[in-house]
Amino acid sequence: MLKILHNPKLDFQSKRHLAMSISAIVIFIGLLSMVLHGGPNYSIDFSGGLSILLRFDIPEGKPPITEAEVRRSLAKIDLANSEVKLSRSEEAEDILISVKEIGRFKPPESIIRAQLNQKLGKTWHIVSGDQLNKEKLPDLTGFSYVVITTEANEDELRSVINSVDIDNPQVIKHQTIAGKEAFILAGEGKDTVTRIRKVLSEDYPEYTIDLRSIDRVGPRIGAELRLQAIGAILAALSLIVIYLWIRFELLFGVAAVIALFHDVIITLGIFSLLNIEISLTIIGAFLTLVGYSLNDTIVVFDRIRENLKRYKNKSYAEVVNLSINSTLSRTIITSGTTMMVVLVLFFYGGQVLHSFSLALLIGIIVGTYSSIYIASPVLVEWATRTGKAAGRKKKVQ
Amino acid sequence: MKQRKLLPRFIIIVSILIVSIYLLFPTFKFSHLNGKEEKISQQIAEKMGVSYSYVIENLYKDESILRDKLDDLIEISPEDKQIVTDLLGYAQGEMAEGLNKSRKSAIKRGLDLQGGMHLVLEVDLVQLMRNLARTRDQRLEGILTKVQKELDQNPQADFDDVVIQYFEEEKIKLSQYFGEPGESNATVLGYMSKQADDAISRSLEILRNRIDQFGVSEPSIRKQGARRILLELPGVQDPARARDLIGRTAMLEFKLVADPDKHQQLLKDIDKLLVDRKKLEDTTSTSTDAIFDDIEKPETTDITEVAKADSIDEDVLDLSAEMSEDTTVSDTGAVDFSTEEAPFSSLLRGYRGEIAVPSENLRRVKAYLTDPDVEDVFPDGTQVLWSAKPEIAGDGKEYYVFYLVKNTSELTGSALSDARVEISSGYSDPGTAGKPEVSLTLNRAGARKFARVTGANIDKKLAIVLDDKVHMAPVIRAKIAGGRARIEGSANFEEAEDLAIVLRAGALPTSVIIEEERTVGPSLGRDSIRKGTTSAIIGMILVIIFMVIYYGMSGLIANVALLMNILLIFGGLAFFGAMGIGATLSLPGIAGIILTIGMAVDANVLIFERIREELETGKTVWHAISAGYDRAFRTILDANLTTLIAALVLLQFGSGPIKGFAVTLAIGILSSLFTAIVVTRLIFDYITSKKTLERLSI
Repeated sequence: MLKILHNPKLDFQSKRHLAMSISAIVIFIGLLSMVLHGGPNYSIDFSGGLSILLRFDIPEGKPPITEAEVRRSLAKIDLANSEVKLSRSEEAEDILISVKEIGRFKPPESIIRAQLNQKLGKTWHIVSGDQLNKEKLPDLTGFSYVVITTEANEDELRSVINSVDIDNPQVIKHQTIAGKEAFILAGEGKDTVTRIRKVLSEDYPEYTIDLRSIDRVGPRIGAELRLQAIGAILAALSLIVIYLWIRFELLFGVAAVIALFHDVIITLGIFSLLNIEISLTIIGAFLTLVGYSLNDTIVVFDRIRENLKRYKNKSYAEVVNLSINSTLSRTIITSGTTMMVVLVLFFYGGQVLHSFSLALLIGIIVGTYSSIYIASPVLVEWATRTGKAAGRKKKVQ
Repeated sequence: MKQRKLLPRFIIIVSILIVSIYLLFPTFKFSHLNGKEEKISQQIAEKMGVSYSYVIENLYKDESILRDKLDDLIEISPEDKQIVTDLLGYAQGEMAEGLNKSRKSAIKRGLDLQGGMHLVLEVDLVQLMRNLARTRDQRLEGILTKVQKELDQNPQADFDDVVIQYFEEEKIKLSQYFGEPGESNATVLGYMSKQADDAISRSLEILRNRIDQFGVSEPSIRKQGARRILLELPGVQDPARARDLIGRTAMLEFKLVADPDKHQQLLKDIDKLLVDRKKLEDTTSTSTDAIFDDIEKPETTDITEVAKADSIDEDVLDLSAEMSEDTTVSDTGAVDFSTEEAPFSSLLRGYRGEIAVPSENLRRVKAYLTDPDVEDVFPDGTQVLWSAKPEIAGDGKEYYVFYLVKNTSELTGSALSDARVEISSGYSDPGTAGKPEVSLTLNRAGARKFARVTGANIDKKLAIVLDDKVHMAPVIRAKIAGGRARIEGSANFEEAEDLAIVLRAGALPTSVIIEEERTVGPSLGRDSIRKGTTSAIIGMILVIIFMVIYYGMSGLIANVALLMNILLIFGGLAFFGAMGIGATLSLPGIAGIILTIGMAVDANVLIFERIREELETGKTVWHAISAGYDRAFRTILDANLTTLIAALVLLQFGSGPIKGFAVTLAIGILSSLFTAIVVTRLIFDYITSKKTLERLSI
């Protein structure tokens, strides 16, 4: 049968200082990148905003649309600084448009209501056109906002409606109600998604546009999710320390968690360098890689614990090195099979899972590396410095 | 070491397998029918020359929509027409039934896979303040605008603090605009906080009242935390309309219900019309439209005129007289509840002195009522409304009550200032003592109007209508002049509270803001499933090939465990989904399964590497296997339990798709522990029990 790296007797411990320096440099570059970018690049999940995914079907003989073209169209509706990402397949291209921090998302009616309230300040009643009885009033079906008022004059209403944020504004003079002349003020709601679709279909009439997904997160929920995500990662880490403390000893737990921090910070740094957004799904991937990297670390630690009892005449560093070597083939095989499926997911999983699988991919590499070069060396360093390892040698002598 | 018994383990494993397959059966059936639904809809769309989404949208909404459309088509060939008719018959009958049956116990798919909308709503607190203010002026508006701006810029700021800050800046107390004059800021804020809680209940009730209008089969509306509403609309076709429906102001109206004999008369008239039309069709086969066009249609009346009319009696009489003149069939006098004689009223039932429709007939009755000829039979200025919630009769069936009401409202929600549940003192009727009742307070203008309406309509019913649905129709006992009214007859406290919320919903406009929206179109959902499945299969094949190449026969054993593991994960998803624990399969969930495929072999790799080591020390095959399993077990347990901890944390934190991922990961860890340790061990034990192996392929 095939054997990969079967007990190769490599000396990992002598290179631990080199490994730690490399890690430190990578972490430094990642942190620097994050600082330069002004913190982690949060997706709208955490920063609040709108992101829509549109699919353009490219008609035969037509060129694909470029990002710059989409941006130009968006500039027309004051969305020039939104992010546009394109991914192309043979017959269609997907366009992801993200607009950050566009304020609170209300159903347009409440915006209109507030604006009218401010401008009109008199008695009025607002209803949706569909609710009106068609027989009694002019057909206003399809109008989202209909205001019937007897308290204002026509000129006043015209100036109000033109200043209010609605499409297709109209003032209709109606019959007298209760001895007063009634006016109807009607309009359609403006909605960012509708506006984006409208401008794009006007600019590219030959292309069919399919709305694939909409994500909108209000700033409050975004802020809450951010806190929750940090809380979740911290909760997972502390629970893991407690578990390892019970099953092994505190030192093992601390060493494992240092390795996990290392993994998450490096992955965050690489994401910042590649300018990939941190979304909810990425947090999910982080927690998974926490579990995965730990898996690796524990396998090594378990062997260390076993070998510490078995080889009483070897030094701490030697035992650790031996344990890493004897579990090395397993580490490589498991990382290999997991990496294989994650690679498949990366290439075939589609856009939604793209950055998710990328996070896992980076995580698996870093996690495997860290259980060999970070978690175990930390154990050795700590044991040496606290005199645990020394005490052990003394006992043997 | 003693050889362990094989049979008990074998039986356990086989029963678990059987249970999993049994649990998965509805899922197989559902996805099979789902594929069929798509194919049939595409076929229908193609033959009828309409869009696919049109067919999907209307396939189950109302059986007659597509059939009517088909009848209207001219260009279609008779063969194609027959094909479409057959397809429709199958799709709306057998297939729809099969889908509904299997859907309940099939694995639940998340909104990201089946397409749909996920919304989190909050009360617009600034707007609520605007509504609660005793007076509104430029100064208040200025403060509220500033508050709004501050909250937009600093979403984590505490609402109360911001409000106080800006009121203090202007050096005025909150009580100048809210609550009772002279109250402290804290008291006013406490009152407003209660109002905000109430606003959420009202919005919830308004949305529940509109739930059928979203046009999806399984909408879910629930409260999330204290101040949020979570709304899930799987498969919604028109997100913009759904959003509009949420933002719409609720309309509460009080409408007079026509007397019982008017109801009876209307039923008779509709029956007669339908019978006559049938006869005409049978005998002369003339288009009914042509004949009924001759009957003079009642003219639509102006808003002000209808409002003047005190009662609807004359109109009803007029119309029925007109009908008997123009139609040739004589009035039979009694309503015969047979299908031929009474095609309409045979669909209805009497229920506690009212007319009600069993829920299975509701769609047909509504279809009749929207028929333009039938609409013409309605007494002038009236409309038909339905009870908001079905009544459960003694036979366990659901009945919707049918109300013929005046189509102008006597009073709207703006006339109300409050509605509360109180326990009746039994002052007017000792029989009601101790029972819950709803007490209404009207504002000054409302009280005046209410006194006039109640005075003129004693002993008539007044329907409480929220967004065109009747929540209750109490009888007016006496003229109510004081601006306070009581509504008795609620069966229990909850029912009374619901009614009070409905009344308050109309009294005080609430506006909700959409704090979070996630909409996935059906095409993206379908793509995600396809891509997820492809990746899973490719990944699995790669792992299987690798295991066989690297570990030989032992690799095959690990592969058996892997396949069984996947079966168990899906079985587990179906099981927890059916238990209502919220195990849904989401796209990250599929990713979780794919990840599990990669990681599931880990336990076996650990065991096999150990066995190899043991074999190297010169142990016999049987001893090496035994030692390998024993030594690896602890490592496997530790490694998996820590991953399980991460999964459980994720389960607590995550929402929607992430939760689905955590559930799959957790189920995957448990089932892979079982398959990788118990199942493979059984196979090894079986092989070594047959003969003593000299060499092990590992």
